[in-house]
Amino acid sequence: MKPATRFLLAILAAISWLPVMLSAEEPVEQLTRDGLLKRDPCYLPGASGIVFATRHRSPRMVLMQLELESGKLSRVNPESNLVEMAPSYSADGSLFCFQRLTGNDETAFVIQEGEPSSQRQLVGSRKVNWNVQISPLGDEVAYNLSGQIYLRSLKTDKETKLTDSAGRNDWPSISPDGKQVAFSSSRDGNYDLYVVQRESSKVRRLTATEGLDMRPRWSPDGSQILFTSNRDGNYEIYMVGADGSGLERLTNHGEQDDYACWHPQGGQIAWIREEEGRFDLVRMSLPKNAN
Amino acid sequence: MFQIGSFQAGGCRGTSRRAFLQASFGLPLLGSSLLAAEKPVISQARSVILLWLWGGPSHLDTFDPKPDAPATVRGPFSTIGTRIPGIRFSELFPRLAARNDRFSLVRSNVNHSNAHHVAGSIALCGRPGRGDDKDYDPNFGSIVQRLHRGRQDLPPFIAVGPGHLNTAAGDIKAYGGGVWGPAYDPFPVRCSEMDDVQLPSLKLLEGQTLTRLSDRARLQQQLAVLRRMDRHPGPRQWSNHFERAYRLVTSEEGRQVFDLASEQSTTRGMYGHTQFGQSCLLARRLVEAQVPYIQVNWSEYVENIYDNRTDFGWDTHWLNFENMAERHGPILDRSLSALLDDLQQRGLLETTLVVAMGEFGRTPSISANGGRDHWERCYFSIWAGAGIQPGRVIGESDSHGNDPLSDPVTPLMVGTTMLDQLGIHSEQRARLRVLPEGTLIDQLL
Repeated sequence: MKPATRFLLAILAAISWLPVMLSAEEPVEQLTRDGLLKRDPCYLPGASGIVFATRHRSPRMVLMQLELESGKLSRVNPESNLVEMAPSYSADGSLFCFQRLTGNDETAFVIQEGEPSSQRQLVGSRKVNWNVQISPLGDEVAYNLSGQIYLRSLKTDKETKLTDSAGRNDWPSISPDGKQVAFSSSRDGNYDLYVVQRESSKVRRLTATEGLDMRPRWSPDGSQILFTSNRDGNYEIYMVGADGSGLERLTNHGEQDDYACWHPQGGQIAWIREEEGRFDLVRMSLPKNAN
Repeated sequence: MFQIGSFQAGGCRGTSRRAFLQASFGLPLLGSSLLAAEKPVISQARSVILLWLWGGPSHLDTFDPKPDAPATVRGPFSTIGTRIPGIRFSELFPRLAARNDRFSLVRSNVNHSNAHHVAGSIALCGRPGRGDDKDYDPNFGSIVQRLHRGRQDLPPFIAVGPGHLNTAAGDIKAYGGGVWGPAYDPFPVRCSEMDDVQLPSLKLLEGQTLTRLSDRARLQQQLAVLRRMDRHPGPRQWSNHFERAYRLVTSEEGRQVFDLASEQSTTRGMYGHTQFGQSCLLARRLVEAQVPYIQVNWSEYVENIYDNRTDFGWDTHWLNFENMAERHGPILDRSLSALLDDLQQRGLLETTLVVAMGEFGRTPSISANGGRDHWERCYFSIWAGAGIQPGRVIGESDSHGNDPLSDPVTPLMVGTTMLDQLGIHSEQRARLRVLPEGTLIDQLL
């Protein structure tokens, strides 16, 4: 083969890799730098900031609010002496919900409408309700109780059991129109993603891998679902169409990427990235207008 | 940052006199007549690091998965292959799966109680108390402390973690000296991911500065006052406390051991910026400083959720799977892997015995609460380093992880093996009347 031909082939080979290179992770912006353990980020209504749970001296985990413009960090409930996590907002921003650890194997939800003084605590029974999320419509909350998904109306206080399957069901996320709930379930062996149509109770499976698929989050327009998976060896952020099509890996990082959440207008996500053992809040624009 | 009591002191500067005086209360007793009587021993291990997974980790969701069991036993996690053909771990432990040719795994530990404070005491001292949860033998580390003849400016038995081991039902009894008394309790060191190390026992006296520590006469005066006020050992023992405390807080090298900020950021990151990760890093520094026995506590409380005391112990009656995936699995996987790597890279693994275990396992059957309850009939322990043949799996549990099918390993065997590796052999143990008739876990050695 002539040198010129070899050179041409080399160029062609390099070009053939270009799509792969371009599909690599978009620029990631680091929003915090303290490196403390974090979880559950959630954009404020209007996207002026992000609320998340982070390690604290006492209590050992608190809700913090980051103002994106100024970078200012402040505690959401500075008077609270209980561990708090899992913040979420209704789409119109009128309701704020989070989880509080109230005793020995006891948790509660807190709903706030407007000022912090309006906070009311729900579910006082001796039960552990976990991974609570308020619906985008603000009319109910979803949570995991003993491995099944429950919904609780904020108007009637009625609790409805949404799943009743073998295995575990966890990490519920209510669709923007309130008609579907995405969740993870091990009903078919290990944790995969599922969506249940509430009216028909019909369940469709979105993913089927050997790995752990968890923490689904509906996009604001209801077309996509973000989630965490370890299918490639460690926790990374993925996105899949709400119909199960178009699976896409969004991060490719040697350490954990987890707890992804959507910007209220879509087009951007924030999550917790582990970098050299430190946990910080990061964000990036999505590689395409996927939502 | 090295924090003494409530003081923040960067490295060698600013240690308070109060801190020094407080140290004297927390330091264990040396100077026993036994100490002089012991002969030098040839040991394979110079130090032991016990990673104490307080609360009882599930064996099925970690290192003894049962992928062929029913879903009500198996749980939701997949399994992954390891470096040892045929051995699989839970998917939550990819780093340890890639390193299990460097450690051995016991899958047949058994304990004698399913109550945390009792089982914890037994697991840490080797056998049940001789009363109703009382009169326990000393912690393995307390035995090491009593026989220690090496470096004197650091306590020989140090407990690193968020605090004294507690449960909702009360303190653990055999955390330290047991029937030998509190003089043999571990020297507590609090370590957090928030860039600080605290010595809680230095907290007793406020307002002392390092520059005034040289005023020994004044210090002795204050100590004399305190001695009258408190319930501390007799004058000779007190003098030993004083000397140990003085050496610790006035020795630059001694203080520097606790200064995690002097580590390279990449090293700190390797362990993970979690309380447990940084505690493991501190344990490695203590090994370098020739501390013979270090117990790293995962949490202060066994409880997974416990109001404002929540520090996410392994007692996962509820949320076993959520916490395993979100927190416990990734943190243990990273921290223990880093510790093994770091010790090996520094040439310390050959002389350091690393053991990771809790007080029991968890029920094979998933409970109605969606978690797993206490299970003392079968659990795991991880062994690496000095004298341990790596890459072995000792014992086999039955198809659901209910009971060992072979090679049951008792707390007595655990303690006997650990101490024997440190060169504390049967003759010495018999002389101290500890770990009677204990046998070694031969398959590990």
